[in-house]
Amino acid sequence: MAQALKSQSCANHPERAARAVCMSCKKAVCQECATQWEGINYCVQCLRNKREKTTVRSSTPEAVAVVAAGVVLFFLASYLMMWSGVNLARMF
Amino acid sequence: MSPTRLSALEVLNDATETVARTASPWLGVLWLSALPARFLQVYFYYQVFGLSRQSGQYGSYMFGLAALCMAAWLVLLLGRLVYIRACFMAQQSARPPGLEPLRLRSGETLVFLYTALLIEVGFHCLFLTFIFIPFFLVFGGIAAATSYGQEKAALFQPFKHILRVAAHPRVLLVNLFFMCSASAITWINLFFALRLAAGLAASLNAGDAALWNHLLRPNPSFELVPAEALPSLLVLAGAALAIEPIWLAANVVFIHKLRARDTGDDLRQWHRSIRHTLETAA
Repeated sequence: MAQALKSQSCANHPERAARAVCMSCKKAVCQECATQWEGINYCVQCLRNKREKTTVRSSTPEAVAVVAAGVVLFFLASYLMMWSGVNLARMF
Repeated sequence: MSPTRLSALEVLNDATETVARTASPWLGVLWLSALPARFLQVYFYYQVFGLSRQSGQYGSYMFGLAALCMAAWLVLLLGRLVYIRACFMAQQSARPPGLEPLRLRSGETLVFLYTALLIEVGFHCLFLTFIFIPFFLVFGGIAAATSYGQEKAALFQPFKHILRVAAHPRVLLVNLFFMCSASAITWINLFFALRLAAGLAASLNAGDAALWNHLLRPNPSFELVPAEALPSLLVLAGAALAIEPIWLAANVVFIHKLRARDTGDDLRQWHRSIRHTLETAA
């Protein structure tokens, strides 16, 4: 792999020598363009795409669940505030 | 600066600096957002004490009032989040953050509202025990500060962050002690400031001064607090407003220091300060 990279240049910076291969799109990239994520090299574009996919897939259902829980908690908190207030009045 | 040990007094010192740096204009935003909730809470408990044992017969009215308090509480939480963002930005950079604290991210906003509402539910469940109130105050502060920087809404993840911070009880309990003492002192000071103002108004023969003097008369059994319920609640709300900024800033500073310790930023900063000292000496 190192020997093969020696003869290649960076896909984004043709004047620079390649130092790594993106494991997603297989492009050769220079040290500046390569980022290791969980021990695997990615180019900037693939890393960005990966991040967007991860964020969209994992956040939407949980965000809906959090909003639903928030609405329930709002009414529960209002009820408990009234309940504790009424009982506080009975104490004094 | 020690990179290994977190000191409660260091946190409080840094918190006062943070409040001074964020006061204009973010303290105003915090107070403006908190005023409706505090006044409504005062009105709610005034009604509770006014109706006394009959308050149970006015269930729908009390529930409506409580829901209104909670709606105003949500506005207060948003103001709190803006203030916390400003405090974190003041910690991260010496430059003023501009309008950036107002740009709330959906992830951290949802996480903060959700955790704060859950803590509020727990608070009202155990409110009548009184001994659990300080613990909910501690968790409320941690929930506010840990919500900063959370990118996505999650049901359980925020509580992992809160419990990780709660594993350092020494600093949190010292902070709580200082905040409770400061609230009590502020309550008494505010009461005496109001009495002084009412006394001055009476000497100048200003309108309704006699009424204000009557309302602000001290409790015969303990003269440091008002005798009437309404002034007591109003002064308590005033003390909460005055202490809230420093309490939030202390939580922000503490969590910022904890995060810096986890990422090694504190060691880098310590190394930089040592190098700077050596270069200056050379």
